[in-house]
Amino acid sequence: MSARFLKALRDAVRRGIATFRSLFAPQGQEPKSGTKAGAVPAEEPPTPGGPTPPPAKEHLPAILAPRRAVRLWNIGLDFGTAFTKSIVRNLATDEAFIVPLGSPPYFFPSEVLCGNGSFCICGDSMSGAQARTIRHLKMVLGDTAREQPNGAWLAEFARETDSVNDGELKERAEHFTAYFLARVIQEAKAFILRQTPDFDEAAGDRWMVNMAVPVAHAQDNTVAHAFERCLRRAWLLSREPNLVRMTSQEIETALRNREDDGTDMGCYIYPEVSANVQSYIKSRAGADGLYLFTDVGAGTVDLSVFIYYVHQTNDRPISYVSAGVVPLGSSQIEIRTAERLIRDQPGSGLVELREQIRLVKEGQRNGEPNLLAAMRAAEQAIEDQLFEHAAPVLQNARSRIRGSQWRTLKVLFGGGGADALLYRRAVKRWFEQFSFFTPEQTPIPLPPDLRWPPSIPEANRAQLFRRFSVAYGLSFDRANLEDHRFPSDVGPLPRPAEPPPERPQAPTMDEC
Amino acid sequence: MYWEVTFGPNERRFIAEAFLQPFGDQDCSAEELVRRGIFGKADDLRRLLTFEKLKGTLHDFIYSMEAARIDFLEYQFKPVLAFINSPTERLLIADEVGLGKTIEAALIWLELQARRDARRLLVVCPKMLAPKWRMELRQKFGIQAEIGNVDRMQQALADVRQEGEACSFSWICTYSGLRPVRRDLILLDDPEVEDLSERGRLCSVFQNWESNCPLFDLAIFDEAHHMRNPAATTFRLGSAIANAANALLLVSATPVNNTSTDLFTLLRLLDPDFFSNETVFNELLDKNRPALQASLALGQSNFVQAAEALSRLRQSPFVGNSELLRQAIEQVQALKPGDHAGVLTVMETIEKLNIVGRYISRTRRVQVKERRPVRKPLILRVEFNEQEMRFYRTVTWLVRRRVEAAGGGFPAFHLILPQQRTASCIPAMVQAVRNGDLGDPAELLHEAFDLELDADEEMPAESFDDDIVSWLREYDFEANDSKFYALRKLLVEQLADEKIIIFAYFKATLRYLQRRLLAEGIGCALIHGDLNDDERAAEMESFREKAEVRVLLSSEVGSEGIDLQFCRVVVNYDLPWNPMRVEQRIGRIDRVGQKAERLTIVHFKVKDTVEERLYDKLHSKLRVFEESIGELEPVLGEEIQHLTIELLSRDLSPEEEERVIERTRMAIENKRRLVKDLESQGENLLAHADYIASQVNRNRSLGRYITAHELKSYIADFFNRNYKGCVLQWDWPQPDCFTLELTHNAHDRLKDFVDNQRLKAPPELHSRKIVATLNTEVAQTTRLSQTGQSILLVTHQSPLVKWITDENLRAENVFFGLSATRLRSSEWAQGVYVYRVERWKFTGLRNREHLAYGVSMLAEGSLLDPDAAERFFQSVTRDAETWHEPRIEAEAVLAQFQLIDEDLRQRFEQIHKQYVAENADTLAIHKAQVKSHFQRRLAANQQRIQTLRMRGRAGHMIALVEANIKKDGLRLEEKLHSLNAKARTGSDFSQVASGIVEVQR
Repeated sequence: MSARFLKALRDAVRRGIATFRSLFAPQGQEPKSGTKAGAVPAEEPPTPGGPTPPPAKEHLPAILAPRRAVRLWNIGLDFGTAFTKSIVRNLATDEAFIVPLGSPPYFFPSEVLCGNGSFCICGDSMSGAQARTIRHLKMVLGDTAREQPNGAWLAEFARETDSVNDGELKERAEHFTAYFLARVIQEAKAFILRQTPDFDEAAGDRWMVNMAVPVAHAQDNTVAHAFERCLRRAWLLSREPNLVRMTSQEIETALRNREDDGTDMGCYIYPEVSANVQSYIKSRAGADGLYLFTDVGAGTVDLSVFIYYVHQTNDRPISYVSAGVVPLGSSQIEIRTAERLIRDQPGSGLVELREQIRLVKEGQRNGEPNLLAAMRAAEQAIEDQLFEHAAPVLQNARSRIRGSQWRTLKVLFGGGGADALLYRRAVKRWFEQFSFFTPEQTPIPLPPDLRWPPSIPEANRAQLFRRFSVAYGLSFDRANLEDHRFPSDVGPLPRPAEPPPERPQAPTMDEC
Repeated sequence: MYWEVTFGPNERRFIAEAFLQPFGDQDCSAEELVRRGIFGKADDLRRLLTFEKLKGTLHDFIYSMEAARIDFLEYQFKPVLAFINSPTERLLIADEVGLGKTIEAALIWLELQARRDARRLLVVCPKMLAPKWRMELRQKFGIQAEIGNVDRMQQALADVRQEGEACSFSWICTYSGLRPVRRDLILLDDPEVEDLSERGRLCSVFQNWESNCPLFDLAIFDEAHHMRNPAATTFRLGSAIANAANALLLVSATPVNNTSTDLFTLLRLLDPDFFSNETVFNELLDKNRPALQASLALGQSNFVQAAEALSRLRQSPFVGNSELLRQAIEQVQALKPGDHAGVLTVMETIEKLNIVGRYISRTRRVQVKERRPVRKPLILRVEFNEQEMRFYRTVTWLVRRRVEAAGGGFPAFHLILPQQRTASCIPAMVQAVRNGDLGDPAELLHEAFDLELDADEEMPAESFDDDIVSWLREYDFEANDSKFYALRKLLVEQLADEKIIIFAYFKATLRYLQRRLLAEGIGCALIHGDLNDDERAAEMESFREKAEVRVLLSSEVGSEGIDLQFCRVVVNYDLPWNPMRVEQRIGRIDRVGQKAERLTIVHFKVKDTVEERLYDKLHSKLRVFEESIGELEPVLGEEIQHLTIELLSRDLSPEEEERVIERTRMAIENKRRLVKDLESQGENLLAHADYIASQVNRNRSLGRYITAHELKSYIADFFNRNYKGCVLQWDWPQPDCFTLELTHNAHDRLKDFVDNQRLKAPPELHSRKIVATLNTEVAQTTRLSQTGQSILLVTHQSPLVKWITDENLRAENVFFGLSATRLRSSEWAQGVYVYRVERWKFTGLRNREHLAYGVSMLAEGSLLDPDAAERFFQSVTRDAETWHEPRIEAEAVLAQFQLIDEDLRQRFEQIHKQYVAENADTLAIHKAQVKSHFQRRLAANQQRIQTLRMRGRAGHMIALVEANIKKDGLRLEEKLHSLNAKARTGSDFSQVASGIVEVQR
């Protein structure tokens, strides 16, 4: 979905909305902006018979009305390159639940298994011929949408899917993605039905879905449309009773039968970083201000400087001042350490070695001195590189922000790799060298409305939440997700900033 | 359709219309809301309940529980409960040694702070214990108390006069620093005399303090047996301070020394009106006996005997006509076998009739620990070499000459110092002689004989430069130190893997050992009385944490207040002549919390020394090293002082020495028997002890205290609803801690509150970023990894929580009182429960508030008994989750509400009746006390007039005293009138919360 569409949605809501205060206005007094009678409904499916105005006090029935409230659920879908996570929210109670995809901690591999022409996902039993595993769907979709035939992720996909031309690649990428998403949506819906067994779409109950896309994709209308299209197809497909081992042909038939007429189905896409910061700005800790959000993923580190404040229109958009993605995610620690060790000890198994390093990195195992030394060296190298890559992003932001405002900047760290100190050190180093002050890191509170499955121990939740935070942010219904403005929307970009030259200390007064 | 809803100036959200309800619905009654199906959430209930507990004082609650950095030990709350129930708020804590009387006293202070915003604390203790008090109050209770003197007290007086009730302080003073000088004793009673010493003037101010604002909200006298001589200046100080204090605590392990008069004297300090003379005291004991017998009989479930004893209590002139007695008799007659709750209720009533016992709280060690470690003595036999023995004998001979010349007795005590130091460590003594510095005599006096000089008293420093020991310059005692080599062998060969505490009297001995052990490669830490809190903490941490630091060298005073239960070996490098000192040394490891089954107590026995004979004839026969001799404490001090002088004041052959020691032992044994007899009489005062212990446990199991869990929800809920922008992060920066970053607005509000309330806020609260914990254990054991500082403990007493409650008070009207919750529990039968919580208030002489819980099962319509209802509620507030859209039959719920209400009304009436009876009893006691007080003043004034007339003094002086008598008469009337007015009883109840709970497996 494009930013234009989102804006249209927001405007529609805004136009028709009177603040709820109007309901409290004394009788006979006109509310300040919009009234119940004058309210224009948002683009929201009507409940059967239309919305019923709350009954006046004197007309309340004496006995509790047996009619239950409408069920509204929102599915947050963090479709990741390696793993997918989902959190659903009951809008009536404002509680969010982690969807148990697979086994704890419920990070589900973003893979489709393909064998004998039928599709499966992890956990399905697949007999017969050996299945091929289709990976990196998200990246493949991005590459095909951008029509980059040489995209880094396409070669493997083409090989595994026997795609011979661009058309096939594009079509199959969307097919596989839609199928995978449909399966995850089905799981989420099944979970919702377990929570509210009386859920009934026919009776006006409703579910919606938000899916994250990388900021870079969200800014590109073509790519954004491809993701949105896949999501809508997945949504339609999820209505099929049985998707396990469906063939490509069957999928196509099913989609034809449930044609996308372009109306609002409650399927929205939303930038990943914006979703990620929701857990902070939606919390009580979330205050207006200037932030640097560093999202340390397994593959990449996203650096975004954004402003969050109330506009005159009462909106609170997330305005990105500067942003950048660096391929220095936390998995680089084991990759580079393994490279160093293999260089010194040829013949070691790379995969095993990486796993071993990961365990040491996460503190689950003690490392040998040579491994620890290699790891320290790898970390140092990553830190140095990140420092270099972060500099333009931060310089860019610094040049756009007034000095007094700059000093209010708060630093947030998110993502599964945020525990590694090297990322914090790299960011801190930039501030120590090039800024007047070193901002303090602001913790992101664990949201009180998130209900954790009992299988995830309480002690692990704070750390795990960093990996669920995108899905959590997406669990809010779209109307309550803050609008955003990309860096390109926020004024002209300044000329590239040069880092200030290092100034040696003057040895004597005469030199000053 | 979505609506944009404004929650506050900066908060808006889009909410689907289906989830909105018309504003004003919460104004309806609970019944109306049930009909409409409008229920609040679990958080609404938690908020409300915690708020109700914090907004005022609930009588049944123990607010000091979980409010300090201490482990929960049931018996330590017995004095707290006794204090809460005391009509006079005056109590003698007489626990045996090693049970934590300091903690008990401090808990009472916390309780007072919570119950009526008490702000002024005075602790009076022996000089050597003042640092220990300061340290314990700071570390365990977060009370920033300072050690004060006469000048500081004068300042405190000025502050109270200026600021009144708002004035706040915590002072620790010493007996010797405050007590008037002897000559002041006579002058203090003479209105004409102005020639008082500075301390005498202060005492006079205390004695005549008449202001409505008490000078001290609580005065604590530690080691109160120092005041057991009514003719001494210390007693006079105690009685003066008692007059200026609202509440009073006497703390002593030995309230009975020689006669029952000792106990009477202390009780007289507590309440001079009630315990006006010894005859009345004995009569009180006699008439009170049936109450004790009734209580004991109830404890054995002998209801008939209990009823008989209560009938005998009718003869008591003090409580014979009491309505409470009538109620108690009725309650006993209604008791059925197995009715434990009923027995507790009757015991509670009888406790109120036990008019003597409520002044004393005593716990004995046998009542506390069922499993105690076995003490295993290990004797290191040492033989001095010829030169060492020559030195030892020379010093002993010299000391005897000097003591004999001084005529013995207390003035000669400092003369024995060289002998004691020689026995402790010859090389250290030799070094001191060479340097001409024999150290501070006061160190020995307190360490060994529990004697204390007055603040302005000085003892001449001892010199020891006689030519007679000039030969020692030639000999290398250090290279030939028999005791040290025995110690080294022990540490290296026998106790190679142990952490060991080595005790010695003298700092010189300790430093010598430190030097020698380090040279041997044995790591050690050193603590003594001269170290400040931080230095001591650092040494202790090094001993506790570092494997290579195996030895802690300590003086006995240096180790006061430090927990050493993680060790199981004590070495007495020198032998305290007083066996009680040995007991105190062992007591550092043989205390509650010791996990080892066997303790090793190492003792040096040096052949042919006085100490060897002392050990054989006294210590071993009293079984000092094997058993706790806590009960001997009262009888040992004076006997050992006599023995010391006798042994060191003339030349004695070894046989003569043995005979003297044997005589002392027998005298001690005789006194021991006497004390046991007195103890057993005293036990009669304390028959209610078990009842109080079970009451403590009951209150804990019913959750009648503020838990850390409740506080966590309370704080989180507050910041969740207010002050957006405040960052509250749990488990940050360390597990079990939290970080709270306040917005400027919130910080200003908190600061205003602290300033307006004149609260003493810890420095951490002045910052916008607060790192704290709610966990007492974390506060005790953890330090911030970044700064190494200890972590602020937040309890319900903290200014932060008080501020939250204050802010909540303003928002009370919007709290939602009806909730639907769901509880997963196997403790309660499955099904839907209906509940109602009420706040009951009874006004009279002592206002009381209770939270009353009514719970019934919807299906059966059966009510839970009150205790079960309270326990049920505890589970609900702790574990329940919101029950969304409960599908229940509204009328059935309403019918249950009616049933619960009827039951609550019945219980309310019952408690009201009891309250009225108790109020009448308290009124009678208070009136009698007031009358007695003014009669004593009248008698004293009449005596003064007589004295003035005899001295032929001017008429205006007599007129002045006569005017005082007249004024007293008016004040008596006024006080009686005020008492009568206050004693008018009233009662009220209000609904706090109602709702439904679905219990699921």
